[in-house]
Amino acid sequence: MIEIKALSKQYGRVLALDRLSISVGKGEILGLLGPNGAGKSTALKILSGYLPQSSGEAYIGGLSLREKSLQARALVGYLPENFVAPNELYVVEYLRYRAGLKRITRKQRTAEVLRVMKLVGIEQRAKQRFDALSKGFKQRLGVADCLLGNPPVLILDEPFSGLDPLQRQDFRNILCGLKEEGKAIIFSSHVLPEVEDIADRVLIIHHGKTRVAADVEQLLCINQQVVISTQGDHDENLSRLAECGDELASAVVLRANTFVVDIDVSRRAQCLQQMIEHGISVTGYSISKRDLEDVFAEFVSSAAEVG
Amino acid sequence: MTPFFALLRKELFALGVSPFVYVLLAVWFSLNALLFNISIDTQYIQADLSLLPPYLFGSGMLVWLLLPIFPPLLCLRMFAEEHRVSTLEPLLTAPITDSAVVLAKYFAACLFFLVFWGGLLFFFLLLDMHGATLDWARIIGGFVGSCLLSFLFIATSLFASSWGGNLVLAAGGGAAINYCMLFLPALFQYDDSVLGEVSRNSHLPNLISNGFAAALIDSYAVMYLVLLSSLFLFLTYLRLVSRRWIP
Repeated sequence: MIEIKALSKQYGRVLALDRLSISVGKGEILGLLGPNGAGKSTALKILSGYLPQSSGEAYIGGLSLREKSLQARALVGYLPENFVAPNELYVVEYLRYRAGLKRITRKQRTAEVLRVMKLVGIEQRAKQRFDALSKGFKQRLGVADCLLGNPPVLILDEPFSGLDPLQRQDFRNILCGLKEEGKAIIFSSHVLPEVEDIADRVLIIHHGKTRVAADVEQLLCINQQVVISTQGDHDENLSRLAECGDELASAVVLRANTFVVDIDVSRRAQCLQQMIEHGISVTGYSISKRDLEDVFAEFVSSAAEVG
Repeated sequence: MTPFFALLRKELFALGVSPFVYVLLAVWFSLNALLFNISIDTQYIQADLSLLPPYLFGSGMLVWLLLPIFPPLLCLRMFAEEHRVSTLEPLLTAPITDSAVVLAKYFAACLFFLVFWGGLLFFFLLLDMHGATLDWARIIGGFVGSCLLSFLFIATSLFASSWGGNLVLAAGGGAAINYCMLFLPALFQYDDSVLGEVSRNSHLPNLISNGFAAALIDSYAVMYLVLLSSLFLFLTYLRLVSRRWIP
């Protein structure tokens, strides 16, 4: 549904995006990660049709945003980073106005507005003005706006910003429900646990360049370490580990009788077998838990070192 | 057409509920009522009431001093304010063409400006109800001319409003363009050169006072005002669409 090929964006001399390529299919959620100024919002603004790219191509539902911008925009629901609605309109009036902009006929408008208000849980706020809404309800209104006309593609820029934990939970459920409906969703966020929970894939960008694009599961497995707990004499266990081969010889002491070592997933069972054969009394053999924050910090800091 | 009418309705509604617009209306009607009061008290107007319409709809200095300012203030929120408060991004990412955005905003401002001029017709209705003999051809002519001139100023104001989120620049820029269009041709109108000829033919006070307000609706004047308005609307469109062109 969303396809970007070698997309670049230059602001004067600043290269905000450098040959970015991604694709997001139906029923898939892609999390776009990166530090401030990495180019996330620029990428999403291009995908929403608000900004032009300097080079490369972006397609929504097979339609080029450069050549068929209007038709492509009709397939997209876009939530900008700081969503603001005009203050003079009530929530329900705003949604009716937006439904008109999205070519929803007058007959269908009331039903459609009611549908999206129910979906995001703002029907109780229908007669409130935008500035009277809390941050969470403002975001919900933005999402309701995105969902008008049931577009197959959703582009959400920092949808979790400013939400409290309960609102985040609600919002996560809404996004997961939309994924189930088969929508292609791309969103940027600084709230990494949320990304880890709901995204199928993540794309980490830094200084406009792709650092990594992978499934969340895969990403969390990269550089995973094995924690080995043993019993008996610590020094003896350490010397026996050194005899087990190169992988186990590189074990680092975490504390007495506990060692940490990098072992490839395919080799883990064999290494355990080796340790037992060498008479090491293994009492624990676990995989150290990593989260997206660790992975993100790793990729961004390594990029900073390279940069 | 649905997105166009949706935006037109929203813009009309936004103008209709804006306190600032009501302040503008109050100032407009107060000053025009004052001008009406002063004019009606003068002996030569009392002697010939047909001289009154040009004062309110055409050659009155108040008209020329006020008119260039009001459209920019009215159009301030249309692009500049939307840009400033970030509501322009959701609008321009909706499936609506840039030309429809410009035209919907323009027609909303034009329709609303009819209230400004329509209110002045009330003064003449008041005189008519009190038995005064009025030259309605001049009144209607002056009304049409003033409306067309205001629509031109609305087009220039929209253009100035599209420059960015700076409200001072939007209002000041729009007023500056309007004053230049009013008074620059006056500097050259006694010149014998081609420039003088162009100036005489494009001097807006002349077109209104000697044409519309004298009940002469000249197709040249109508076309001149309509084309000039179209030019500024096109420039506004270019300003908006250039966002997508300039990589």
